[in-house]
Amino acid sequence: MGDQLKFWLQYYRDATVNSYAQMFFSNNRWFALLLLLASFVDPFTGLSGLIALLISVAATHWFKFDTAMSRSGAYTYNSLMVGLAVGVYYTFNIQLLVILLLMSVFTLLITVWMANITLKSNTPFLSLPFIAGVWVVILSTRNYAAIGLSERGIYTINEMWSYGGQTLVDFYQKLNHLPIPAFFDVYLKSLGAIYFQYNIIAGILIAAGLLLHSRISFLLSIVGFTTGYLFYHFLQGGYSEMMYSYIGFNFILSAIAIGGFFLIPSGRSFLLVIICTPLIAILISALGSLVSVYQLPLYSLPFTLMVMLLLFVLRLRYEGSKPQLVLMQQYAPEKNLYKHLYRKERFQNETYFHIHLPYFGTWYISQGHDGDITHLEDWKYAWDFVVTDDNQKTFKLPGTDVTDFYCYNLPVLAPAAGYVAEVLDEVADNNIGDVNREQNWGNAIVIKHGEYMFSKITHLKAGSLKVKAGDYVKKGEVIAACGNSGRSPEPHIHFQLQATPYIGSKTLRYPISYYVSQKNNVSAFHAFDYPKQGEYITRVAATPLLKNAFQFIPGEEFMFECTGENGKKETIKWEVFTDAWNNSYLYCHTTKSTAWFVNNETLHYFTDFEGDKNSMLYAFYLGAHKVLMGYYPQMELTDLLPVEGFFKGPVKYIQDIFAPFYLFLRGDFAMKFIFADEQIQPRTIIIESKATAIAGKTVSRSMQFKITVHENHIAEFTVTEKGKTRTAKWIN
Amino acid sequence: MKKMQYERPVIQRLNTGIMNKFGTRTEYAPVTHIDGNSVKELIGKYGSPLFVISEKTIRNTYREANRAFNTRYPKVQFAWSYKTNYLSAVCNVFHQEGSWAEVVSGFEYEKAIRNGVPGNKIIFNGPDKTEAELRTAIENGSPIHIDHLDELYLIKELSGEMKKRPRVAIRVNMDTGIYPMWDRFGFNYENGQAWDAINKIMLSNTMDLIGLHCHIGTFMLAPSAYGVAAAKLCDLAMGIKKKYNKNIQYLDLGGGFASKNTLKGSYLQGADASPGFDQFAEAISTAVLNAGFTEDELPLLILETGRAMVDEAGYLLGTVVSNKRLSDGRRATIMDFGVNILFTSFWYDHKISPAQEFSQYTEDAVLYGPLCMNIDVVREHVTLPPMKRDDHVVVHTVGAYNMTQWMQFIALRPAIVMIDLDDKVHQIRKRETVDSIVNEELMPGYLKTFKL
Repeated sequence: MGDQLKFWLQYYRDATVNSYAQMFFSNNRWFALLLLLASFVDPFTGLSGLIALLISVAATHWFKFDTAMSRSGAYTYNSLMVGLAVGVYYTFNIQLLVILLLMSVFTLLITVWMANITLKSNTPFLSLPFIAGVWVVILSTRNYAAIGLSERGIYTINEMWSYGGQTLVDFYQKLNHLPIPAFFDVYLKSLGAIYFQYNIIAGILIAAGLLLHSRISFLLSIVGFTTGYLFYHFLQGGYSEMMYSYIGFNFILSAIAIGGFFLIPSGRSFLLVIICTPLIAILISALGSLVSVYQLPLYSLPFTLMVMLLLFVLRLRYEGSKPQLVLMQQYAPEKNLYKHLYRKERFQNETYFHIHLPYFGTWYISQGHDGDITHLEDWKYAWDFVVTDDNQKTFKLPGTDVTDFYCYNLPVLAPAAGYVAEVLDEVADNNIGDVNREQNWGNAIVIKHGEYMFSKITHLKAGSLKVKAGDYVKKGEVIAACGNSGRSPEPHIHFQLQATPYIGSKTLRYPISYYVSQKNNVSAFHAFDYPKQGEYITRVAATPLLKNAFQFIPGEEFMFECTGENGKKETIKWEVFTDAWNNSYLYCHTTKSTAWFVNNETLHYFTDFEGDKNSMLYAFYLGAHKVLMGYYPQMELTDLLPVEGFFKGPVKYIQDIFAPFYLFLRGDFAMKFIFADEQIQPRTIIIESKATAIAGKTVSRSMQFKITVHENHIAEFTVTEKGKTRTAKWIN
Repeated sequence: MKKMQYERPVIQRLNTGIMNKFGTRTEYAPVTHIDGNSVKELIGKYGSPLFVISEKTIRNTYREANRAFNTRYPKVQFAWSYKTNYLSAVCNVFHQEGSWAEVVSGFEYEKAIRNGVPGNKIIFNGPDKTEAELRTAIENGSPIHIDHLDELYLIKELSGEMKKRPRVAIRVNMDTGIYPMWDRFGFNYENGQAWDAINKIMLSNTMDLIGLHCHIGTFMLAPSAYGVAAAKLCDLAMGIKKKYNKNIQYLDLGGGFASKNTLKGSYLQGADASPGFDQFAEAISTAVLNAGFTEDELPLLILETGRAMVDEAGYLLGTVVSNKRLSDGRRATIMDFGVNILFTSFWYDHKISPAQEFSQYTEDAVLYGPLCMNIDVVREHVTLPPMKRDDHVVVHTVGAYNMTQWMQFIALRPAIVMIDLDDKVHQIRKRETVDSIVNEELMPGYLKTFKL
C-alpha cells in the first residue's frame, strides 16, 4: 500500500513540475521551479494555473490515461496554460473555479485526442489544445454574468498595492523602469507573457531559468526574437502590435522549437529560424485580423501552426539529414545535439546484418571494392581473398600447380546463418594462369540470410561443396574449399553481398560486421567497415571469459564493495533489467542511476547513462564504454564519449553556445588488454581504459580505469582521476 | 688466367645398369655459402666441424606451419619441443614467434624456465617426472601430461598436500594404423585405459582435466594417421562433455611430422616423400571440425612438432681428413665429423654437398667419421666429386636431434653459430675444450699422483 501511495505522490509531483517545464520544451526540474515561481509574480494568475494543472493531473489519474505521457507533463501543460490565461483575465470567484475545473478537464480531453491524431503524422500538437480551450472560455463566458473580467492585468499597480503596500509598488516600479533598452524590455516581457506575466520580474526569472536549462535555447530565443523585432522595423509594422500582449513570444517559442528542440541544432536549423520568424510575424498579422472579428486573442497560434507545418513537411523528405530531425528527444537542444553526434558516430551501423569473414585465419585482400581487375561496374562491391607468406607471395615454389598456392583447398565458411539459395559444383579447377570465361564464377554458393540479403562465395574447388540448395547453414560452418574455378587465374575466394539470389547477381555495398586488419604491422579493430585492398584481415575470436563476464542477464544482481577516495567503504547493488523495447540496462539501486548497454558476441558497449555522475556506475559506463570480447593484447580500441555529462564547468557552457556551429570539446575513450593469466582459457584478464575530455588541444579531464575480470565476473573495477582512486570489489 | 684446380684422376667402371634418362644422380652442386656467409670463412673463424643454424629458415618454417593450421582451424598453439633442439637461442626464436615450451624432463623444464617461459606455458610431458619436479610444475600451473597411473596417484597426493588444483591432461596412445604403435606411453584408447584414467581424474575432483594429448609416432609419412588420432581424441572429449559436462580446453596432437630428410631405405628422396604442413593440418583440422563441437566449445589445438620445424634450419660444416681406397676397391673419404656429433646419420641418408667448385666427375664413396670405431659411418654410399684433404662439405637438414643427442665420445663437441635475419653470424655455443669435460670431474686425493 505504501508503495502505491509513494508511486502516486511521485506521479503528481512529476506531472505537475514537468508541465511547467514542458511549455519551454524542457524536463529540467530546476527550470520548472523557476517557471512556477515566475508564474506567481501575479499570484492569482499563478494560483489559477496551478489549480487547473492539478485538476488536469488528477483527471489523467482518474481517466487512467497513459501514465508515462501524463507523468511527463505532455498531457497537462495545455490545461496549465488555460488556467494561467483564465487567471489573468477573470475575477476570481467560485463560479470561475467551476469553469476552471471544467475547462481544465476539457482541455485535457482535447489534448489526448489531438495527441493521438498528431501521433500518426508524428507531429507535435504543441499548444493547440490550449487555444481551443481558452477560446471556448472566452467565447462562452461572455454569456455568463457571474464571470467578470479582471482588471488586474490592466491596473497592475493597484493590485500590487493591495498585497504589499507602497514598498512593493516602489520595488515593482523600480524594476519595471530599469534603464534597460526597449528591446530587452520587450524581450523579457515577452518571455513573461508565455506564463501570462507581463512584467520584467517574471521575464528575468524565465530568462535566467532558460540560460540555466539550455544555452542553445537561450541563444535561439534571442536570435528568434531579434529577427522578429528587426522584421517589424523593416516593414514598418505596427510596433504596438509587438508590445500589445507581447505576441513576440511566438518568435521565441518557435525559435527554440525549430532551432534546437525538434531539429538538431546546427547552422541550418538556425537559418530555418531566421526564415520562419518573419513568416510567423506575417501569420500574426494575418490571423490577428481574422480572429479579431470575434475579439479573440491569438496567443501562441502562429507559433503552433508554423512549427506543425514545418515538422510535418520536414518528415516527408526522402533524405532527412540536413537539417536533421531529432529522433530521440532529450528535452534540451544541447543534449539533442551531443547525443545525435555521439549516436551518429557510434551506432550508425547498428542496423546492419552481421556478416562475418568466410574463412579461418588471416587472409590478404588482393582486390577490394572498385577493384581494377574484375570488380567493376555492377559487380564492384566485392572482395577477393588470398593467403600470402611473409614475402607477400601467394604460393610456394614452383607455383605451377594449384596445390602450390597457400589458399588452395582451405576451408570456406558460411559468413552468417541462412539457407543455401543456389550452388554450382561442377566446374573444374583451372591450371595456373588459365581462366574460364564461359563459367566465369566457377563453383559458387549463394546463401540467403534474409529478404534481399544474400552472400555469394565463388571460385570454389570442384567437388568440395558440403551443402546443397535448401540446406540451412550455421554461421562459421565449413561449406566448401577454396579452389581455382571460373575466371580465376590463381586460387582465391571471391566474396560479395547481393540483393538477389542468382550466381550472376550484381553486388551490394554492405559492410563486414567485425574484423581485425593488419597493415604495416599495425592491428586495428573494425566494426561494420569495408576491408580495403592490401589489408590483411582476420575474424575476431571471442574469449569465453570476457563473453561470460560481460553477459549481463536480466535479473542478475551484482554487489560491490566500494572504497571511495577518502577510504570510506560502502556497498552498492547493481541489477540488470531489460525494458519493454528490449533495451538492457544496469540499474544502480544505491544511486538510482541507469546505464544502457548492448552486448553481442564481439562487443560490449554502453549506449547511454542517466543519473548520478559521481556514481561508480557512471565510472563503469565510461570505463567499459566499449570492450572487445576477444583477448587481443596488441590492439587498442577507441571510441567517442558523449560531451554531455562528461565535461564539467564553464568550458561546457561556452561550448554549448557554439555547439551548433563548432565543436571544440571531444570525449575520447581507449581500451586495451594488459594481462591474461594464460592463453588456453584465461581465468583472469585485466583491461585498462581511459576517458579523456579534450577541449581544443588541452586535456580538461582525464580518468583511468582498470577492470579485472576473473572467473566469469567483473571482480574489481578501479577509477582514478587526479591521482585519486575509487575501487569497487565484487562481493556476491 | 685463374689457376686450374687440381683434381685427382678417377677411374670409373663402365656401369650398364637400367637405363635412366636423368643419368646417375649426383649431389655435387656445391654449397659455398649459407645465408650469405662463406663456408670457408665460417670454418676459418669457428673451426671445423661447425654447426650452423639459419634463423631465417626457422622463422619461415614456423610461419608456414602456423599459416597451414591457422587458415584451417580457429584456435591453434604451437609448443616448442625442447628435446628436438634445446639450444637456448633456438628455443627463443620459437618463443619469439609465439611458441610455448614442451619439455620431457626436469632438466628441460628448468631450461624453459630459465629462458623466461611462463610456467603456465610449459607443457610437461614424459614418463619420468620426479616428485620435486611435479611440485614445481603444479606450483607454476604448468599443464602436466600424465603418462601412467603411478604419476596420476602421485599428482593426486600432491594436490591434496599442496592445496592446489594441478592442471593436467592425459597422454593417450591408440591404433592409428601406424607401426610401431607407441603404446608404451600414456593410456590406451582402444582397451579403455584412457577412460579409466579420465574417470579417476574426474572423480578425484582434486585436479583440472584441461586437455588430451597424444603423440602417435615419429617421422610420420601418413597424414591420415593424424586424422584418426584427432578423431579419437575428439571422441574422448565429446564423451567427457557428455558424461561430466566438462569442456576439454585443448587437444594436443603432439609432434612427429616428417622433415625433408631421407630415411635410410627410402625409395624417394625425403623432399618428395614427406608430406607438408598443409597435409597434416588438413587431416587434423578436418577431423576436429567435423567432430561436432559447437563454435564456442572448439578446443584449442596444440602442436608440438619439433623435427619438421627445425631440421632444415641446421647445417653441419666439415672438412675432409683423408681419402683412401678400401680392400674391395671402393673409395673411402674420412671426414672430421662422425656419428658422435651427427647422430641422425644412423637413420638418415643425409644430403651432403661439397663446399667448393668441382668439375663434372663424380665417384661413389663411403663417408667415414673420425672416430676409431667401426660404426662411425656417415654415408655408406655417396656420389661426390673427388675431394682432397682440407676440402669442406656441408651436411644438410641436421637441425633436429643432433644438437641434443650428440656425444662427447672420443672427440670434443664443436661450436654452433646462428645466422640471423640480416645474415650476421652469432656464436651460440662454444667449442668444447678439455676443461669443459675435466671441470666436471672429481679426483680422489690418493689418485692425484702417480709415477711411470
